[in-house]
Amino acid sequence: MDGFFHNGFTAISWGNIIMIAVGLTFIALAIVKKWEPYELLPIGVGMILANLPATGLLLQPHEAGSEFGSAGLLGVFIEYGLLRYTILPQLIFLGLGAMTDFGPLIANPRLFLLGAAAQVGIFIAFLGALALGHFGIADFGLKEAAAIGIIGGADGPTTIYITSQLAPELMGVTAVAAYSYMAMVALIQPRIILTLTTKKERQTYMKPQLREVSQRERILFPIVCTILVVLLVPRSAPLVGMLMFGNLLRESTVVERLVEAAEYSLVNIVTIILMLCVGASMPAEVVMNPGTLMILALGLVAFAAGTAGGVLMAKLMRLVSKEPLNPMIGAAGVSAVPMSARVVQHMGQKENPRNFLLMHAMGPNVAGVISSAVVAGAFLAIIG
Amino acid sequence: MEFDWTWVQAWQITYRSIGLVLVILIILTLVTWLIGAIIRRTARRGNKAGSGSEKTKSTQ
Repeated sequence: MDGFFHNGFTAISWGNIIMIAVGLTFIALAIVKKWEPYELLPIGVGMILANLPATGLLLQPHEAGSEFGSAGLLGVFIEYGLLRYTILPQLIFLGLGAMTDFGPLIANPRLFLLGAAAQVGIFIAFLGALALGHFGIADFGLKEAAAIGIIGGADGPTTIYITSQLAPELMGVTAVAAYSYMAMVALIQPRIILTLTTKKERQTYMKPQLREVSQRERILFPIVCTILVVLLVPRSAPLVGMLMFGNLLRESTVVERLVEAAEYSLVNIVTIILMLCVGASMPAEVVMNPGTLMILALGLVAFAAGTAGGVLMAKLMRLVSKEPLNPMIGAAGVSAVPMSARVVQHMGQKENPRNFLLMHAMGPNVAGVISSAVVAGAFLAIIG
Repeated sequence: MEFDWTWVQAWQITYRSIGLVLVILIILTLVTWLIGAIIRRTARRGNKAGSGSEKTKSTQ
């Protein structure tokens, strides 16, 4: 009877208690503030479960050895879904593809350049993390720096995919940083946009309607995109291939049931498992160190620099563009679909009520998803 | 003083990745634009031919 009560309470540390409190905060933010509830709620629960001692939930099959039934549920998901095979983020990409409308990008392909420019944050954070490692402030090498830098892509599944392959011990923190900054897009981006643009630029009127994109173009886009990108960066195939496969399902209009499954059932099931795993990757002994704060700070730098890169590229394109171009749409080049496009739409309407920038911002927004997947593939090819 | 190869690697990774991303996205931009242009031109020709035959029909 004595041991029955002793187990948990005697083994719990102050670090565990702090992390449980963080988990509860995440749950509260999801329920009360509705901040990324689909992600933060299961992450919060995973965090709490990971920090309750002696549960065995995190025991991975390779640690459990040959004893049947001894591996924990979360340990199995983490080992097989993330560390060993990295299946979960790829399945999320399949669902994302089924949900994404590439129409605005196909109608105006030069918007690809805004998606590319917004990836600059990844490289700034990458070099920043290396500098911290170089001066002995943190224990970051090339792999850790790449995992931290990718937060600047503002794409949760890409961040998880890269981190689980290059620096699995950082996965929880980088994923939480990516999702948190995505949730805070409306707080971070407007300040940067206001700093880098004049009132006149922000008021620039763009015609609300884009050219109509034919179904043939919509079908060819994912096929051509996959072949070209994968031929140039083969390691981006898991992400780009799945994204474009999902999109082809959607645009083919002949497999409605598959689209529905990919868009709802698959994404929902995988989100539950993936987010629980992300939360569960944050036991106190892994997270409670100064490196975590540095990762969060570098992630913010990456995100802000990405936004700035997109806006500055849009300003440059404005100089050579025949049609008027509102530089605010560059900020949507950081993936964060569709939050950053909504921020641009909201700011655009505030500055000029005639402006309807949502569709213009969706172009760079989806270009950002492709670009960050390409950078991820490049990192894996060069560093992995 | 020992030379730190990590920085050389880091710069190589940075410019190779940036170069790769730019090249890919420029190619994608051009290819997407080209496919769109070809499809629109084909559709316009089809429409013209269609309306031509309509005309012929109505004149007949």
